[in-house]
Amino acid sequence: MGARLADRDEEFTAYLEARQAQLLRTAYLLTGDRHQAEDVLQTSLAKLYLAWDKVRDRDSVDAYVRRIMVNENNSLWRRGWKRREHATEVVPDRQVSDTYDEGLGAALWDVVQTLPRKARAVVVLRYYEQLTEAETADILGISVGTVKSQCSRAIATLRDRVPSELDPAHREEER
Amino acid sequence: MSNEHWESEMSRGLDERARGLDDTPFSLDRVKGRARRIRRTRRLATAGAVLAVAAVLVPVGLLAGQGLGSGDGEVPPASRSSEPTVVPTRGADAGDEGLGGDYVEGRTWVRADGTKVRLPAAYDAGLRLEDLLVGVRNDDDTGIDTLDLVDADGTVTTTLRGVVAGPVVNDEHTAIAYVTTAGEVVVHTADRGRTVARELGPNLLPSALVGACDEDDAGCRVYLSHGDGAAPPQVVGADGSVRDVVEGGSAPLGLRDANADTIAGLASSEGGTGCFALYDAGSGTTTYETCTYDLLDLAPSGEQVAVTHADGDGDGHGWVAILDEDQQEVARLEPEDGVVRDQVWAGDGALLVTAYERDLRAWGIWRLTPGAEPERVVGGAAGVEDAPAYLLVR
Repeated sequence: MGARLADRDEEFTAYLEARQAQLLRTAYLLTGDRHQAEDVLQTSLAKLYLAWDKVRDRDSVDAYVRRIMVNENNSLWRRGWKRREHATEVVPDRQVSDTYDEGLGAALWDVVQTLPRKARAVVVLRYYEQLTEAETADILGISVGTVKSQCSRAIATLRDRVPSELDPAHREEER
Repeated sequence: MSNEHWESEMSRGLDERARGLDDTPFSLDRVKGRARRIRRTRRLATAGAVLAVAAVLVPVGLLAGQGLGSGDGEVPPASRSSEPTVVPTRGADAGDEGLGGDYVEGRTWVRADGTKVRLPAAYDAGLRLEDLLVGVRNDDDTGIDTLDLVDADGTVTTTLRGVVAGPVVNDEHTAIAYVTTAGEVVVHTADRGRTVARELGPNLLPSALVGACDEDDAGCRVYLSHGDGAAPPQVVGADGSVRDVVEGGSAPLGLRDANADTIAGLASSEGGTGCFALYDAGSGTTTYETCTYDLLDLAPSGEQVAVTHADGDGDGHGWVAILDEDQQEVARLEPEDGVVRDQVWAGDGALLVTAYERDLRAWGIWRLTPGAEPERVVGGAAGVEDAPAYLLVR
C-alpha cells in the first residue's frame, strides 16, 4: 500500500472514530429505523471515503457526509427499502422510561415520523444538529424560505397533536 | 407559547430519542468494502453517461463551496406522459443466448450471439469496441482505472493505463473516449489512440462519443461534463475545437447522453431531484423538458430514450422505462420488490436491463421491447443487492 493511501486511511480512521456515533444518531433520526440508519451510514461513509482526497476543507466533512446521508435516505426510500421486512431481526427502539418520553417525547416522535422525508431532514438538521437555516438550506439544496416554512409546519403540527396536558406551557404553569 | 419553546422541545425530544446510540458499527475495512462496490456501480453508471443528480452535483457543489439550487427554479415539464402502466417483472426465461447485446458474468464474456469467452481478469465494466471487449478494472482504491482490450480468444491485445474518467463508446462501436491522469481527452479505436484535447478541467467526465471517429472522420466529437457543478458541458471536435454544448443561458448542468441529433442533459437540480431536457444537437434548442423522468440513454435509432424516476443517486432505480418519440411510455420494468441497476440498448432496438429481485435474492437480465411485456432473458444468479451478478456491455 502506498504512503499516500496509508495516510488517507489513517486520516479516515480518525474521522470514523471521532464522528461515527454522532452520524449514526443523525441517520437514525432521518430514517426512524436502526437497520436503515446503519445502511444509510455505511453507504454514506463509503462515498465519503471515495471522495476523501477531494474534500480539501476538513471543516466541511460533516456537512458533506450529512448531505450524502440525506440523499441516500431519499434514494433508499425510492428504491423500496421500506418494503423490506425485518420480522426476524427486530431491533427495538430505545426503551422509553420517563414521563417525558412517554408523553411529549412520544408525540413529538410521532410527528417527526409522519413528516415527508425532505421535511423530516429539515427538522433533524435544524433542531437536532442545530444547524442554522442557511446551513440547513445549503446541505439540502433548498432555499432558506423553504427551511423556514418546513420548520413552521412541523412545529404547528406538533402543537396541534400534543394533548393540552403535555403542552410545555401547561407543564410550566403546574410547576 | 412562542415557537421558540416548541423548537426547544423539538431539539430536546430528538436528542432524547437518539441518545444512547453510541455504536460505531463500521470499521475502515467495512467502509472500504462498500466503497469498492460503489465504485463498481458508478463505473457502470458513468460508462453509460448516467450522471446521478446527487452523486455528481451535490458533493461537487459542496466541495466548490457553493450551495445547491442556486436560484434554479423548477423547470415545468413541457410534456407529461399518461399514467404509466406498471408491468410485472415475472416472465418466462428465454435462455442466455442471442440477447442482441453482450454481457459479462463473473469471468465470462457472453457475446451477443451467445458465444462465451473466458476473460483474463474480473472487470468492473465493459464496452464493445469492434470485436473486442474493453474491460475496465481498478486494482486499488486510487480511482485510476486500467482498460484491457480483450479479443474473442480472451487475450489482452492492448492495455491502457491511467484512466480517470470514461470510457464511453460510440453507437457504431468503432471508438471509445476517456480522460487520462494527465488531463488528456483521448479517442481510441481498436488500433490506436489520439489525444483530442488537454487541460479542459479537473473533473472531466466524458458522456458520449458521436461519429465513426476513425482518423478520417471530421465529424467525430466527444461530449464532456464538468464535475465542478458550475462549468457548462462542452463538446470537443475532431479538430480539437472546444465549444459549449448549448450556447446561452439554457445550458444543461450535466450531460446524460448524446447522439447525432439529440443531447440529453440535466437541466436543473434542487434537493436531490432533477429536471431533465432533450436538446437539438444542431441548434441547441430544447425539444423536451421533464421533471418526472431522468433521461438515461438515448436509443441509437434516435427514436426512444430510456428513463427512470427523476430522483436518485445512481446506485439503482425503482424502475426503468422507454419513452417513444412523443414522450409516452411504451415499456416499463418495475420490480415489485427489487431494484433496477443498469440498462443498455441492444442492437435490435430492445433495452436490456439488469435488475435484482429481493424475494428471489437473485439478479437477472430483462429485455424491454416497446409495446411488449418485459421478458427475463437471463436469470437466477444468486447474489446481494449491491453487487450485480451481471455487467451489461455497452
